[in-house]
Amino acid sequence: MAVDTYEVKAPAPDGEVRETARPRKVPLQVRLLQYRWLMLLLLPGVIYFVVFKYMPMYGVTLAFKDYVPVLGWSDSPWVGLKHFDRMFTSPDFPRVFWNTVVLAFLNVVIVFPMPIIVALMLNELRVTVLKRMIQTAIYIPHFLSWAIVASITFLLFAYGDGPLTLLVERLTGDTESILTDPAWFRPLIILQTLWKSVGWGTIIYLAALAGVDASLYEAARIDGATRMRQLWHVTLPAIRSTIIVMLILQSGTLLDTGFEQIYLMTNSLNRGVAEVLDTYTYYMGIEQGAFSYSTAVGLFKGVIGAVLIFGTNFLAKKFNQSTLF
Amino acid sequence: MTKMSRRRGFIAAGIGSGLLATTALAGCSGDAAEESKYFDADGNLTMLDIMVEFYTDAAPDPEGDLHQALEELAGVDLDITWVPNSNYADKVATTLASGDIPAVMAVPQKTSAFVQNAEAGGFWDITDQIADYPNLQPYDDDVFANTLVNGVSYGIMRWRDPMRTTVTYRADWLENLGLEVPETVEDLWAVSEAFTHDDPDGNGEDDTYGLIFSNWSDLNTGTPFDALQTWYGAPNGWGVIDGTVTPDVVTDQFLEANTALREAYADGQVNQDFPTLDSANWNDPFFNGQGGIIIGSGSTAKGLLGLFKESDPDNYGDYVTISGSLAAADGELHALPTTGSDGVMAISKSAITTEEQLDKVLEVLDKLNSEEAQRLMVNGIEGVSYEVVDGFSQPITDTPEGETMNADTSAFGLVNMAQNGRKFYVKAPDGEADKALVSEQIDIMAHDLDYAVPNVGLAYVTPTQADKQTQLANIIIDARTKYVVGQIDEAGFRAEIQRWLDEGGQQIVDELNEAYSADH
Repeated sequence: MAVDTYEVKAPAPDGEVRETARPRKVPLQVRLLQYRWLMLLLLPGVIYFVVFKYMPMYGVTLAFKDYVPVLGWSDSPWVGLKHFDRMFTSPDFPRVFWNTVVLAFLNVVIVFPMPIIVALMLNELRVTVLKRMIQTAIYIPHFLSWAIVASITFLLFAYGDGPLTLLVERLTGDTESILTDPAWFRPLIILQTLWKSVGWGTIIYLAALAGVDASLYEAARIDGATRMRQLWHVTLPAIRSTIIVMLILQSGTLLDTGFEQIYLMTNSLNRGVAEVLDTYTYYMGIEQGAFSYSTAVGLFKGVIGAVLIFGTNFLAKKFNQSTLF
Repeated sequence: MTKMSRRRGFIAAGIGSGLLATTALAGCSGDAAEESKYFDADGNLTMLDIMVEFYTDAAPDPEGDLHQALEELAGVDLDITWVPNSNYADKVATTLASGDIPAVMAVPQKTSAFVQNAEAGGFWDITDQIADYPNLQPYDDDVFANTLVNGVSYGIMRWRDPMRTTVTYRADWLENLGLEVPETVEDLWAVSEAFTHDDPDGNGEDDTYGLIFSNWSDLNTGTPFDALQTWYGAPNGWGVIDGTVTPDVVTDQFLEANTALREAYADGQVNQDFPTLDSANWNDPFFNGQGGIIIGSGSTAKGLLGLFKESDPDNYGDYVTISGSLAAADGELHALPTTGSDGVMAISKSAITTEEQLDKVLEVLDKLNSEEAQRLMVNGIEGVSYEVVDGFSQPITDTPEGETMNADTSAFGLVNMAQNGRKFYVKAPDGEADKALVSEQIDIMAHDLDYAVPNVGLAYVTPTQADKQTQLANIIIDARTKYVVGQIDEAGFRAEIQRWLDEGGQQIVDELNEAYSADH
């Protein structure tokens, strides 16, 4: 029985907690059998992780080899850190890395808080029908592929006759070549990301908001708190742990700027600011055939992601916030 | 209890072995099984798998009449993997990376990944073998040389027109303005200027421009940029100047051509959105009456004619006229040819492991290059999908069988190699205007071929090219676009060309010169 595995503790006369019963050692096999249906439910997930997440990790060794497919994984010669050396001395790499970091920064500063703000705004809406309608409307972009988002962007911002290009022209007096101007690239990417992801991102915060104890608001109101005060002192602290967990989760994928979106929006004129680690690995690996080199770049990105996730978690712990692990 | 624990053990083992089986499946590519996949116990070739791209909407049915007829002719089962052309380059790269390569694979371009694999022994060197097969004799030594990788043939080349560069003009606009079809680049700019400023469509509005360019700007792939540069006298990629193999980018003519384009762009004669216009859509502004000139191929002209045919079936011939390559300002004609082939069909060493096996495969490929096979793949079956009229094939499209087979031929045309030259029938154009256009095009191409500028770099892939090609090409592609739209000036363009030289271009120049002088 499940209860068998719990330690049962009772206060001793001197106030110390004393063990009264040692947990009975239940063999693994017995426990597996006991929870066999749960195990079965777990199985697809385990297989998924083993096949798609753990086994490919072997491929990381390519970063330290000169991989020639004909020779295979095991027979390609080891070359040590050659590819990392090339990466750090490559004239392209600093630019590509910088572009990635800038986009990552903008993602954290602009994109990350938006779902929270929108969720708070939705939470303040008292007309349920209106709230539902807005929610549904802002979820829709999440289900569109990047190819469609890019096509819409191309139509809206087309040089000469795109409606938004004309709007910018009215406002500034200049005909801007928005799709090709490097200065417009990052604003466009952030706008696209916001449009596509904010609505969907509100779901988890709305769920957290629904769990806030209504009596807290009541108490705050009795104490004379205004709506803004309630937001600040009741709502935000209540969802703080959700926000922090989301931030830690996102920090791991900070450098994933999204391949498709960037690839589709890149052209000859904006490549200088558009090329990021994700597209760089594609160009080097798939187009140039430098499999080992692009593996090295990918591994580098992965290491940074791991450092960031542990770093954020460490900081959160340091400031006594809820953490992931 | 013992019964229970046995069951438990069984379940645990089940989970464990399930995982192991998955691991084993994914990890092993089954070398031993593949040997018998192609050959029976007596060593006869029974099956050949081919990976090839296709451009049509749907891949042919393997049970279809054409596929069956081809299998019968080849004497083996053909397992053809049809890959949509838009994904083909990526598919080739990932197939190469996986090491699980079909016996025969179409390789349209000598990409770094292919060259590295081939030189490491991933594909058969068939340079010496082809002499034994009558249908595998190259139809043209120069074209054949273009398909080699540093002197080695890694596959049977796929034939394509050696000359295709064709400029298409709005014929009605030329007529409205009383202009002639251009013969020189000077004429081209004059027409383009008139198309932009002189209201060629006569609607009283300033809503037209001359040249339609697109984001298709890869280096030396027959793009409008390549054509323009070659016409101005720059090498077609790589040329021999004063005994030295020289890249186009360092020549004055290269700069001159792009400066002319830059000036035209600044004057509004080129579509301002070309860096983001996909070349798949560049017919639209021509058809819609926005732009009036496209530098493309004969297929571009035919495609445009087809669009007008649908909107104006009676007078569609009045909208489109063509010219070939245009002479430079000094009157000299430098025509831009194609490579003469659409890459090669390479034979993988991981699938076909011994010389004896290779001979069996080459026997089949020899059959597939025969006149009979070429006609079957490109034209179909006579009487079912086409009739021969005046040496042209006249497609039969009013029967369901004919329609299906004609659809299949457009895909099987990519399996067709014709290393020994074109033996299939050219499709007869239908409609008077189409006939006129096609025969004019044939004449122009025959004329231009005598003035073709060869690319001497095609036969080589040097180590630095294999290593940095894509990266280096992007420097020039981006700088050229920036220069044309006016984001950088001439000094900036020259600086980028210098960067190309510094980051590996000079190395390629040196390596190519070494390889070239060893051969000549």
